[in-house]
Amino acid sequence: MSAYLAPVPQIASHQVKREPHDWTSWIATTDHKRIGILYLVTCMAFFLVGGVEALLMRSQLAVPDNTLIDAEHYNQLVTMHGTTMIFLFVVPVWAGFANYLVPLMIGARDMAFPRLNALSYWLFVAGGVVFYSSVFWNPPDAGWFSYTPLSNGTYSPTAGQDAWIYLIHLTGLASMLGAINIVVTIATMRAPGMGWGRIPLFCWGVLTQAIMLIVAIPVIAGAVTMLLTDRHFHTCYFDPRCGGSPLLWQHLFWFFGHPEVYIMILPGFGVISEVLPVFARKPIFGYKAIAASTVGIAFLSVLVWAHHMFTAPIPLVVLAFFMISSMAIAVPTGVKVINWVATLWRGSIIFKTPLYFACGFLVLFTLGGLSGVMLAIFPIDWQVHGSYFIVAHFHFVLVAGAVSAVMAALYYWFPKMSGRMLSEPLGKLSFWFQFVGFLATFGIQHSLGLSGMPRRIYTYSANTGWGTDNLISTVGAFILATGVLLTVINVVRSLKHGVIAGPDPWKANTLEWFSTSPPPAHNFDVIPKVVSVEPLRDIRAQIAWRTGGQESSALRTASRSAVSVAAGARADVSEGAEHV
Amino acid sequence: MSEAVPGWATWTLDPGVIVAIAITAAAYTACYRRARRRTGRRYVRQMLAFAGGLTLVALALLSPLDPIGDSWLLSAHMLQHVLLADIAPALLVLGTAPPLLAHGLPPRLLRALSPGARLGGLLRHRRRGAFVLGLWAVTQWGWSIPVVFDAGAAHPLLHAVEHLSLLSSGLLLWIVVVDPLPGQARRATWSRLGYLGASRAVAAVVCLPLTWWGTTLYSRYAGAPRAFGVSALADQQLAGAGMCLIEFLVFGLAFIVVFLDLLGREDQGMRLTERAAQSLASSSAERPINAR
Amino acid sequence: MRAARVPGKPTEGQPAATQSPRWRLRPAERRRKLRPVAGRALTLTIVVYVADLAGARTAWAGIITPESGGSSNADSIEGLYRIVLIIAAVIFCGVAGTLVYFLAKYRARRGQVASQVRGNTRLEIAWTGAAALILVLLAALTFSRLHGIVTPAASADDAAGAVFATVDQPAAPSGHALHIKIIGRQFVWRFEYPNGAYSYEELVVPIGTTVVADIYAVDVNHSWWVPKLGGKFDAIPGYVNHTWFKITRAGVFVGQCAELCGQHHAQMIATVRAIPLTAWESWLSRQKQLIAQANADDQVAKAKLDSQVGAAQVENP
Repeated sequence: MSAYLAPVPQIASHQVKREPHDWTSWIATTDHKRIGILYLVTCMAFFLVGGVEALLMRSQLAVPDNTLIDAEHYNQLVTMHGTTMIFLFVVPVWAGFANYLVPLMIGARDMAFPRLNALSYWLFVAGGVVFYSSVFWNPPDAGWFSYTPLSNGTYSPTAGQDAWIYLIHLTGLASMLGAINIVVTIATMRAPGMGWGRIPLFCWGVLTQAIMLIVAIPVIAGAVTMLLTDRHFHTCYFDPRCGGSPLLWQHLFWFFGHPEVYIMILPGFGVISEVLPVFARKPIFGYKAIAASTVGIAFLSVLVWAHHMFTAPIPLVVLAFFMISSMAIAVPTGVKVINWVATLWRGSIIFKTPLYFACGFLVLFTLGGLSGVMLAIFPIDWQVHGSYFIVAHFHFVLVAGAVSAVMAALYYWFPKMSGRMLSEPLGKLSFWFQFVGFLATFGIQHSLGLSGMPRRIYTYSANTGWGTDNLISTVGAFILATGVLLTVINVVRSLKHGVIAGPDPWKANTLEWFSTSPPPAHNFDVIPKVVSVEPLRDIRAQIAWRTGGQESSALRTASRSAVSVAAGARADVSEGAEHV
Repeated sequence: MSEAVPGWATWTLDPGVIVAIAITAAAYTACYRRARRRTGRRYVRQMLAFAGGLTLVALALLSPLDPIGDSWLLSAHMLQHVLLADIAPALLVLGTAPPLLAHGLPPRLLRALSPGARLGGLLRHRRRGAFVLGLWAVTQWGWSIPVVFDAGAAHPLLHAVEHLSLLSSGLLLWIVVVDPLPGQARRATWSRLGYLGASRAVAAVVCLPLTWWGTTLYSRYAGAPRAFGVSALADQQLAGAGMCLIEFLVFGLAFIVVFLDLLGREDQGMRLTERAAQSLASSSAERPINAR
Repeated sequence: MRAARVPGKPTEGQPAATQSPRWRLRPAERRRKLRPVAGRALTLTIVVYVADLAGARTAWAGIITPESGGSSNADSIEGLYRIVLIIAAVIFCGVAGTLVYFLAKYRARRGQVASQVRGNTRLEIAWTGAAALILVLLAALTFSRLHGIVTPAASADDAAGAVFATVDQPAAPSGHALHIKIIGRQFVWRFEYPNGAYSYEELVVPIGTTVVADIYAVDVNHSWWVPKLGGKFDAIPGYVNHTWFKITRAGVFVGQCAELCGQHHAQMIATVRAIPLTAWESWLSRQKQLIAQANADDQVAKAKLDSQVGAAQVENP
């Protein structure tokens, strides 16, 4: 035991440069952890902005014939809210988590292309700046999917629509470069012994997301370029008056758009697959099935796009094909949900905030997924498409799905990123506000859609009878916002006053917990050899064996004893262990 | 042609097809028996798969689907082709999944198929995937050309050639994936997934235009009398969408099965290496790190 | 609570390598537990189907099922929705209930160790197959009801023209239907009747006649949606879309454009008023008369203005 209290340095060093912490180092950084944190902070800022836009919209809709926001500004809010949440929050927040965690999880020291990584981040910021600068003259107002002809030069003459196009180009490029980085990193920089069957499921989620980005982004980039030339250079792709087709835009957009929604959720699935085993104290149920389902979902998702277009003039036979393919995608998704629930079976469940968010995800995402299966049935979709039922559906899968997963990831990995724990009581309170607020906001919107309320209307008359439900929805939105605010307060407070977290506060299974919290710039002193899908468990078992069962105290001082452990690891693992 | 559409009871008992199916079934039964005698195991999955494959071939070629596909509905003809080129070959090849052939084939045939022999070497050639894909593309695309397709439906001999070529290219395609040949098994790599994807992409080149095209492409079927109240254009769209759907489902299933297989193989390989390394290091009396 | 295997230590009597969970060793008990569940599920399905056949329109329409009551296609959609809703509710309660049960039952307790089971291939294949089967059933259910939703009902009265509804479709059984052109423009619906008359915002139709709508747009995308009369169909410039409805009782049905079409999208209301056939025919001819009259008045006014203003042309919008 005393050996761990007084570690002996193995390497003597002279004139060690201290890690710079000033703000210029953050701008010039290529360290994947810092870039990850930059992404996360920027995304949270955009999340709050998008949330404020949503609250404004909900306030306008709270009562019939409201005059808080007029038609023009409402349509702009709708467009800004959707675009912000999708392109400036959900997609890049996963880039942030992936940047931070993937090298740590696979036992690498950085991403494959660190400078490309930094470029991705700054392109993303540029996209956000360009897009939001449009509020100073005319924001776009044709909806986040900018259907033509509404978004062409005749009906959207202001430059807001162009700002939207540039956002897609910039963030799309950022995502694609980031995706290439992720794929190469995971393919080539895994720790020795970490075969494809041993990478964490979060890495599977991020990897398949990256491949989908590479497939889908070129399509949308092409489509928005065609829209740009239609708007300014007299081409005629989408204008029926000169031989173009508005339906072509819809096909191109949704060919990207459907993989996009899986891009938004697959890393979230990965997070749930990481969180549940840790808090159930048992391995994930059916690792291979979940990995196969992730990959299966990714590849099948490019074949379902027209289920966003069931009401368009498309032959019935084609609609039938897309109904069946959309239903088929539900099979791997359902398999995953069942596997997650089975992970809890016969576990020893510890109730911490990440688990709360993961379980909230399971319940609410299942609801959203089931409403999705209903929507795949195109006669039903004929009634509810373009109504608040659809709004409810996608908010269930995106807010209760992706945002829940983001919250779970935040509460789970915040200790690793900052070295401090988030407050548990505040976290649980935030969860309950979010859960109840979410259900109140979006549960009732199913009913609104079923009773005939279309989406994207800035007001409605009193005789429609939609007033009560809308009021409930607005109240719920403010409750949800309070919940989010509680998490923000939690984060800000815990950065300075949180309980110090050790390297492994949750007793987790994956390699990122092997390093200190936060990890040093080089991540690991020694990269351990991996022999199973739960490398940290093996390391803990090794330590326990070597210290005669006093593993918990040994791990708490792991930051100081990492060198000794590494020395030990080096001794008994003859091949493959990588040295500094 | 003003005759009624053939009902469900009119089966064409083509002697050539029946004899071929009977011979195949007999050969398989002999192989199965030999394997069963040698190892005492029942190869239930393989037997069911092969039986299923043969049934589908019979259904495609002998049932009313054949005449309806010849003279009335493009979608029926397309269904016949998909059965013959995609589903039946997959099942037939799955019916010979290892280790059935290793135990069931007669010694002379085993020698001819062994890696050293000429035929065996050819079947295990490094570039066989690319070649088979090329052959698959040629058959899929070649037969879909409207002139060729219509001619095939009109002339029985050409039709037989068409069906035979589709079946054999399908068989070759799935042999590369399932790898039933005994002896030195080809190492499975992740490129197999790409291969699967490429094969479905080849089929998509046919099925996607058929689904989306605004006018009829096959004059024989456009001019045929209407059956089941389906218009000519709807028939074409049904053919395309149906083919796309079956391709999609086949791809999805095969992809996941191959993926899981690859994961399992890699895992097995790594465990073996680690066990070997560990037994080498076990002299230092360290606790085995991967005993769980 | 039986202690599960502690990781790292082989259980007594079991070889270190195997990890089969306990429950797998008692298939008989497992079967006994599942039989009543299967029985209850079967009973529930039968009850659901019978209940569904009984009602044409429930009190839940507009709350947890889509609106219906104006036309049989809307009713068919609502009926289909009801069945799917019940199936989805059963699945959701199963998943959520199991989750809550596990959370309650398997809380961490002192001395308890989690069972380190990694999966069960047979079980996983079984529930994958079950999920696929449920979806196949849903698809079959949809196809069995599709005809009633998509094919126009037989018209009760005579009106000229055999038509198609939803882009490509068999005609109405008796071949008779009333063609109406529905034209979406920013921000009002225009309806054109077979005799050349037209109206804005309110569509007047006869009771008991199958109305087939040919849906056009002249500027941007719109979507024609009157919930009680069936699903919505997009009006896309350069394309024609189709739908149908047959109203069986007098009434007014309200709908709204359902595709963002610009600033006043929220004000693009549509109403469909159904009146008896004879009343409708007289309304139609009166409408045509009124239009002709208005056009004539318009010409007179224009001539007057032209003569007054002289060289300056007055634009006639």
